[in-house]
Amino acid sequence: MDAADFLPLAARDLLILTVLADAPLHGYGIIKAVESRSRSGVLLDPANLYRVLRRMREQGWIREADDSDERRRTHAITPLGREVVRAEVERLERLLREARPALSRGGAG
Amino acid sequence: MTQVWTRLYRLLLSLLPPRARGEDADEIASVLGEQLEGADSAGLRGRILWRAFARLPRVLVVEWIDDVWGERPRTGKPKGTGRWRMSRWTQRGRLGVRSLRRSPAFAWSSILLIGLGVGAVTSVFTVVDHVVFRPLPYPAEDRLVFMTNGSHSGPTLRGLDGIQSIDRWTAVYDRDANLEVPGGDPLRLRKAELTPSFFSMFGARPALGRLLVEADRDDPSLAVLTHEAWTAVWGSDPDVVGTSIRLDGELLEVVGVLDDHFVLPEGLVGKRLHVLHPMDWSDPSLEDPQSRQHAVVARLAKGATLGSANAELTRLAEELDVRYPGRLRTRDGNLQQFPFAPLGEYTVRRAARGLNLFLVGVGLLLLVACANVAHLFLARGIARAQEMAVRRALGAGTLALMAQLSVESALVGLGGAAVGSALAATALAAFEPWLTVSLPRGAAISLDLRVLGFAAALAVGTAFVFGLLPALRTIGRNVGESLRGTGRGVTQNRRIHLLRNGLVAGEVALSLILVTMSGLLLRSFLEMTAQDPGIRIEDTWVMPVDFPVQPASGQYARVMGEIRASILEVPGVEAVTFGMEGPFQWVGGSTCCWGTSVFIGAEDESTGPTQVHAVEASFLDTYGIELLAGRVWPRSETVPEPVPAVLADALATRLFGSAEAAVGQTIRMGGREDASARVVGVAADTRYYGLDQGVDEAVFLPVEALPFPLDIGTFGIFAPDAQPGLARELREAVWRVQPTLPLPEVVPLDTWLRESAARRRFAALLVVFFGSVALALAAGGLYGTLLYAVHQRRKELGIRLALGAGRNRIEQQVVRSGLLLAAVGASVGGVAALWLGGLLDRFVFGVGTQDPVSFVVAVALLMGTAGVASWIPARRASSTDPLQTLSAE
Repeated sequence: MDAADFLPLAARDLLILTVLADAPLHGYGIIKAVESRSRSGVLLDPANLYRVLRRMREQGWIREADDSDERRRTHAITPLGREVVRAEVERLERLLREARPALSRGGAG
Repeated sequence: MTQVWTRLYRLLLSLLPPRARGEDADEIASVLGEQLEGADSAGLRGRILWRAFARLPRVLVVEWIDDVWGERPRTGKPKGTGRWRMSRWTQRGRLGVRSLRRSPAFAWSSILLIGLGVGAVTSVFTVVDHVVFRPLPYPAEDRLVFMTNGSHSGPTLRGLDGIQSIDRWTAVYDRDANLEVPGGDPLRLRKAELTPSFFSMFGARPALGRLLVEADRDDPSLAVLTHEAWTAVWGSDPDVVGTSIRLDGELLEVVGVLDDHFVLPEGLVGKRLHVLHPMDWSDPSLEDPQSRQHAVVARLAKGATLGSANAELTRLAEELDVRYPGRLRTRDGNLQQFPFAPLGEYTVRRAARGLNLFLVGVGLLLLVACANVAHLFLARGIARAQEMAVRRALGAGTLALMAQLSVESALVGLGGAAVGSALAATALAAFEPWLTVSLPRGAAISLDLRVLGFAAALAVGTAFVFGLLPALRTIGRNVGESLRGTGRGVTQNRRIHLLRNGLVAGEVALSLILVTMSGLLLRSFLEMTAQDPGIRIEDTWVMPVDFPVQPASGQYARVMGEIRASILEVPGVEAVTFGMEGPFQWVGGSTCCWGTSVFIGAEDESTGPTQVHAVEASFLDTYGIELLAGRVWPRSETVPEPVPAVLADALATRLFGSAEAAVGQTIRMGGREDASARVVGVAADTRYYGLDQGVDEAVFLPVEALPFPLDIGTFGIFAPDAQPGLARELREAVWRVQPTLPLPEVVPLDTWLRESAARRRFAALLVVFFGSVALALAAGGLYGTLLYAVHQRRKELGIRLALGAGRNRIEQQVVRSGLLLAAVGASVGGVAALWLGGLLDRFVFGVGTQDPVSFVVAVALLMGTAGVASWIPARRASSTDPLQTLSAE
């Protein structure tokens, strides 16, 4: 399956994948990282986070990292996951490129 | 504090579906703990807690949905995934079909039984619903009222304009009319003389031209055709509007045709071909308070009540009484009242009683059908306990099992519903001809999807509940044990066994009630048809006539006599007679045309209502009515004084003690001072108004003595050597004398006799249908239960066979257990049927509501069916190969 098939991503999914792209993290780590990275104060609730993680694992975007232990699993991004992030970022950039001129025209007028 | 919150969170997380719970719950809870510990302010902790707990319910729901419905990648595209991952429901559907195909007996019998139940219930309920419950198809139908106490006179109609509680009213006089057809025989139609408010009150719309409006009130020369008349008589001629027609000698101009969808108000305007036109207010009979011709329907004003309207009507009656002293009082001096009653009640009143009974039947049948579905699924469920255990062991969750079973229930249920709707449609189509003749508002009946939906939902619902039972039973069960044990399984199944046996017994009981009811009604019907009408039916023909122009006073008997003489010349005709009406011409409780009271001695010794038949001298002879005493008056041009009369035996016996004693006595009729008659003979009793009616306590008088003018009559022709084509010859014989006299029907008397039984025949047909379905369902239930029981005990049976037990013995044993179940059900049902039999009081005829024959036959029928239903599984039990059975374990 192609990464583009999964687009667009929910903002939350993108944030999670981006923080995992930097380094493998465990659950609480993801929450902290997303919180600090998003600045707008996205606050994940644990139950939903694990639901999202499970889905991402099933879709093959992330996997359990090798240093994971039974009680506290560490999640790492997979090549497919990276591909998905890249595709989504590209999509967003393209979107912005298309939207910006309209915006500046609106600002000038 | 943190710990308390974490624990609570963990507790709530245990509500997650098993898979998610096992994988993640602990970790999720500990993450919340870390979050709380890491938070540096109480505000942030509050936010974290709020977020975690508030979001949890949604997560739980979504997780469960995913778990049951199969997880689809939410951001991925499910369309693209079909190639490699079937949706779980498709998968379950396939699995379900496969599983049903492995047990075709179960699948088909369930589908058929559900279908039978749903179909029967739907068709009957559709009829009842259609006739009784559905509102009349008219605007503000809940405010429509009709005036009771028959037809009403001109002065009463005029008085209605002053009634404040009604905002409009219409009066209709509906009668036969003859349409003159250029160059052809006249056609018989019905004409309704009415007030134009009829059309607005019933919300009628024209298909062509226009309808009548208030401005047409005084112009009786305008006419509107019903859609049926327009299609049948005018061949849907689009140019009919503006043409003239001649009806009963009067020229009318057609101004419009009623819309096809307009339903004529039953009882006000009949179902036949109609021409509607404004009543003629200049008719002098409308000034006569005793000339009551018009049926009246009114619409209550907004805010007015039936009570207020009726109070006004009472005042109107009192006013009329002042204006016409003494003429509007009954014999005992009471003022004649004519209160309003709801129109819906009037239309369905007569049918409703019978149909309520069918509702009881429908309810019982629905119960039987559901009981059947229930235990079919129970049986299958128990048989699959092992399969469930295997699936469990392979990791299937309770919900997944339930989902799988739901799919199977749904497949069977939907199949049953499909069969049911086909059956219902067929049944309704089969009932249709009966419905239109014997029920009001029966004409426009069609399959009611809501009813079908209801019955199907109930059946499928039952299938679901009982279909899920096996999955539920595996909860908390040691899987290994279920996998291993058949021995312990049997004891564990005891409660379910009891439930199943109870269901079957209940089913038998309900069926017995239905079968008994069918038996009673069927017996009533047979009893009725076995009645001796007292009138010769074979070789007798009847032919009603209706003069377009009423013969001049005193000429009626002469004109009819001429026709009679002409008919006598037709080859094969042996005797011809006529009277104002013939036997069985009026049936279903109505009578015609001259009802009066007969008196002997003092004025107040009335004998109650009596029918007077004004007939030609050979009437009794031609219709084969036996003369018991005396003689019939001789044929003569002039009527002797006093008028000779022949009494029916029942009347003669009641008045004078015996037939012989009656001869020579004098009777007086009605309020007429001069109308006395001398009894010259006594005739055997007849059932003149239908086999389901009582003996006709009638007086036969010479038609020459008729005290009022008449324009109708009915010929009776006895033609034992009739050739084919008699009807045509009879018509021609009439037309030789009266070339324009319309002859709407020339039929064997038998036709009328059969029509008189139509209503009861329909009732009998319907209950027999009920009874048979109930019997089939009960048999199916019994069969299923025993088959299952045999299957359960096959190991035991196999061992016994191997040890040399006789096959007969085993067969007997199985049959006996089936009969035992049926007997339990039958005794319960028998008591209930005896108790419910009273409901049938009005419908039985000639048999008691606790008729032993019906009961015995019903029980025998049911036990016989039970025997057959048990015997097939018994055969199966005894014919198993012990070795095979044992090795299969």
